[in-house]
Amino acid sequence: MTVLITKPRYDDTTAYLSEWSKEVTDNCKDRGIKILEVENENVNKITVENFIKSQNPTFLVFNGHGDPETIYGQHNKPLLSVEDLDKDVVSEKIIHSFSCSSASILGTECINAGCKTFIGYDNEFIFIIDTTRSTQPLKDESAKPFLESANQVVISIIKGNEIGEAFEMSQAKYDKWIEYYNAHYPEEAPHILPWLIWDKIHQVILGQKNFKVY
Amino acid sequence: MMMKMEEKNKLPEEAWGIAKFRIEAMPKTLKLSIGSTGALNKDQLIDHIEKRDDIGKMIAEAQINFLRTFKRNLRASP
Repeated sequence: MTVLITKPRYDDTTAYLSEWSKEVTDNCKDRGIKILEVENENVNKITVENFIKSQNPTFLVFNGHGDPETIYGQHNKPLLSVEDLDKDVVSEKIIHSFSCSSASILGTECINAGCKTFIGYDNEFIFIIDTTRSTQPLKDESAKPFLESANQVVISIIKGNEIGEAFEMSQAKYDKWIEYYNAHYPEEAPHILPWLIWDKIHQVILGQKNFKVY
Repeated sequence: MMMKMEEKNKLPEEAWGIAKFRIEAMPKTLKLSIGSTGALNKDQLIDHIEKRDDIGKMIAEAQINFLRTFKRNLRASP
């Protein structure tokens, strides 16, 4: 299996998503899975499509911004869009997208174009940033529950779980963190909990669920 | 029919006040990363609530949904 991961970086949100994808790349490395990391300025439509067509990765992990019809790359330039969706790019792929709301319209269009499974969010993906930790996103305990829960689905797929099972493990991770904040109620709990519940509700899976990537 | 749907989806008036109150209690060191909008600080979030725009509505919906979940959990606990 080959995994392609996009890592645009040009604001707080993309910096956090890129840093937290280290969890994913570390898991790939531990399992000897080939990773194609496309970073910064290289996260553009031409480069990403070339990688997909030439290297044929099975699993596409898109970090970055989005809207219902588009996943964006570096500096908010469209990467994958309903407007000019290339069937050869998405066909037979498993796609995970952090890009906000992209599961609502783009996800369905990808499935119609032959994508096996699309996992993402049908509304905004939201997380809390502690500005005193924003230079070291991996040490930001306020962002951790959001990014750990969301990444769980990607990591579980990489570990060889069935796709539907991996999605449920991510939902369970959200529950674990919601229970933690309900039980311990630290100072930041009232500000974290509404958005953990929000992300959990809006995380969706489209397409096939009952298969393993390898 | 359309009118009824709109009424059903309309946030209760008090939701806006509750959302503003809860965001006002947020420490100044926290920001909310909202999709393509970017990371917004407390003052920017309050501004969206006061304008009652799409982001303000989303904040109010999330806060009301959280309180409803909290209430359900309280009822369910022994």
